[in-house]
Amino acid sequence: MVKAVKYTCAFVGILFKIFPYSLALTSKYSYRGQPQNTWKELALLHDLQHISLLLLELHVFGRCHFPIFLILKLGKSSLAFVLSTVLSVTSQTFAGQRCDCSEHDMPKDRTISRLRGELHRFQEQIRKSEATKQPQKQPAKPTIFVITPTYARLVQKAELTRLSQTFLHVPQLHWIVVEDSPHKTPLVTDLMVKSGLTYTHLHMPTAKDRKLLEGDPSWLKPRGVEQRNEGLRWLREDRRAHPGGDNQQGVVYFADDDNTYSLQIFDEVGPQHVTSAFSLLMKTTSLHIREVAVFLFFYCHNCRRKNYYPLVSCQMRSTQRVSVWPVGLVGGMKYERPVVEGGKVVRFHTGWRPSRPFPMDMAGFALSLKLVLANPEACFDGDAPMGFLESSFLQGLVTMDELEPKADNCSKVLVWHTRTEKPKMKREEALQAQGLGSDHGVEV
Amino acid sequence: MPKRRDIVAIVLIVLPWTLLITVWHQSAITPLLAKRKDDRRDGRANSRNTFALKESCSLQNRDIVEVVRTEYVYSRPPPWSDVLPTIHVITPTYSRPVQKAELTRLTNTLLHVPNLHWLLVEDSQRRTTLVSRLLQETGLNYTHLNVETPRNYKVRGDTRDPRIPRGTIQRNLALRWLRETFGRNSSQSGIVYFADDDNTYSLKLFEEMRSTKKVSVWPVAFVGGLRYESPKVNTLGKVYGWKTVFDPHRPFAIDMAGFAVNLRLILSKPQAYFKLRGVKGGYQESSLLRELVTLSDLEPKAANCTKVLVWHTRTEKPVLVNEGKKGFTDSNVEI
Repeated sequence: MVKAVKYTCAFVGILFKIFPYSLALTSKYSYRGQPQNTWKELALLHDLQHISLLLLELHVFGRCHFPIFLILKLGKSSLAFVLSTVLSVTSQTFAGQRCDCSEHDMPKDRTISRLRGELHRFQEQIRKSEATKQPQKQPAKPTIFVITPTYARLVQKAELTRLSQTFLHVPQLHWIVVEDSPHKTPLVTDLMVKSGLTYTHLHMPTAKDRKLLEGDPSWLKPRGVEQRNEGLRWLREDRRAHPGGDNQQGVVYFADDDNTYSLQIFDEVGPQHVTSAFSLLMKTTSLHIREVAVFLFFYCHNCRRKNYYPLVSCQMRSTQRVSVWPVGLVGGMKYERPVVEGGKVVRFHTGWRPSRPFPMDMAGFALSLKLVLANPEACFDGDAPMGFLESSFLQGLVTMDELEPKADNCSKVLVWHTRTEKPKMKREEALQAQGLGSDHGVEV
Repeated sequence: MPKRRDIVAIVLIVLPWTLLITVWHQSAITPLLAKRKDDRRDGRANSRNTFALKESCSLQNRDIVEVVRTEYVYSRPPPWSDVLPTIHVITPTYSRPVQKAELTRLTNTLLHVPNLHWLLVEDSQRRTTLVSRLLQETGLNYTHLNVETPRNYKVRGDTRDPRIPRGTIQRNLALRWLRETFGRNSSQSGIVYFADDDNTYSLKLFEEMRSTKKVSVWPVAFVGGLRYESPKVNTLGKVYGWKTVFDPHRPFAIDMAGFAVNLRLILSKPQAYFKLRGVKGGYQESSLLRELVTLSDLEPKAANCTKVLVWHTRTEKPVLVNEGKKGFTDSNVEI
């Protein structure tokens, strides 16, 4: 008799699960007249099923006659409940992706989408207008200070434009642009203002004897030395002027204006991955608070599967002293990189003068702000022999075994040392000789 | 005895759910749902975009996206708006050492532009993993195509011979894809723009081109051996000529990056393609525009063609002398 009751209840529970629509027909969430159903309704239905399931379980186990299993009773039912919620989350994860409710929600979606687009535009405007003000007082992450020396040439505006477009994706970034000029040029000033970034505009002319002349090969004299030193000087002064615990947090990176930077070097996890994982979190917590543990499992699994960097570990931003990574298309090779063994840098893989103390490119390392501030005398030596510029700076600051390898133990190329061709101006020069050159009022 | 009972009960609970996930959802729900009628979604049938959120339909899910966005002010790419016309950017690309770098910085630019659809056409026999992976990681709305240029059209060595049009077959394939996807009488609003992977684009350019009705034009820097080439615009705001030195009598003396076409115009003239053979240097753009529009129909942008918003930059070929014959660096590392 008891068994019969129990198994009848179990059968009813199965019925409720395998035929959700039969339940729907008897409930007020009726699908009659509606050719499609929304996931929201199915979710509500799922809640109803849960309640019925819980009742079923309580009944099935409540009939146990052995008092010794009283403890197990609770344990088992909650285990069963956890199992069912795991499966329900799984089903929501996978099943939800197949649902198409565009027809049903179309008018509302249109309005929402339009409003969202406008909201985003307003947010952009607000952000741009606030960008040039003081950096935020309480940064959640350490700020990356990027020092970029630049000089006037035809492609300068183009280079700085696309560099600013890359930096615009990186939060908590402070761009320090140092012009090789006796005064600030309006071209760069305008560009910085319109870029929407947090920036500092400096200038420092190179001494005449150190300057590259027209027709000199680019490797003849070191470039950008005075400008980078000026950037460091400003940074040190600025931090000294605003003492405070937070001010010491940061990373300093030297970025040339013609290189190419992938966003991964600045530790930017793609938001589409984050939103999908986060949405899963939100969805589960709003429906089933007990399923948070399950969500975490899926989130971490998602991370590993998609092979992006989880939120906790960083690339450049987590630099403690000096971090290094490979640089592509430099040193006459496809890439130069530090060789990492056992998590430590043991030597450098480079084809050109590997006997240098730090045979790497300017774009291949970043230092922590603390280190820069602790060594106020450290700067680039313009008299150093060719290729020793980086070494002249890093030598006094860090030893090779203290270097922190990034970019997946220096196995990925995330920065490229690209160079832009000088545009051919033969016709322009010919026209200018005739006095018919293109309008110089138009900025290029 | 209690053990068996528990097992039976657990099986009774687990089994229906397993069936529900595997069998029921796959087969039962899909036929019940109405067919997708949205053209926009059909248009992206080929693209493997990572807009996972868009596929889900719960209103709760969309609201949750807003919660996250306040934490990450920089949302890439910007949310899709139903009012802005889509910009279809056609980029031909080919394999060379700087390819990944060029595409990376182009994606960094394109990720700022709302309602953008990137058609990347590779000059290769098969879609390379480098490009596929790069496209997936960016999160852009993209379509990945490929077509190999036949050997007799390919540039010999690396002499940039302007007589051999580069990327023509790839651009034509992209145009054909657009025509096949959208059909002739589509009411889709969109703009088609040909962007090379080594140029530099300012974000303002994309906003300027969105209002194109037929074909819009603007100045381009560093082309034709000048600081910039631009259309000549009279006081009425009409284009009447070309301010250029290199053959200014071309029907359309403009660079590929200097014009954008409305999608409807492309779809309404299905025979308009870039001419492949017998095209003189600098006449490639004319070969397409000639079939689409006349000079008086051109719309000047960028403040009546007085501002430069796109630069025809070219990247130097990297010197790889130290690689030697066998290759010094590990070829498994992607650059």
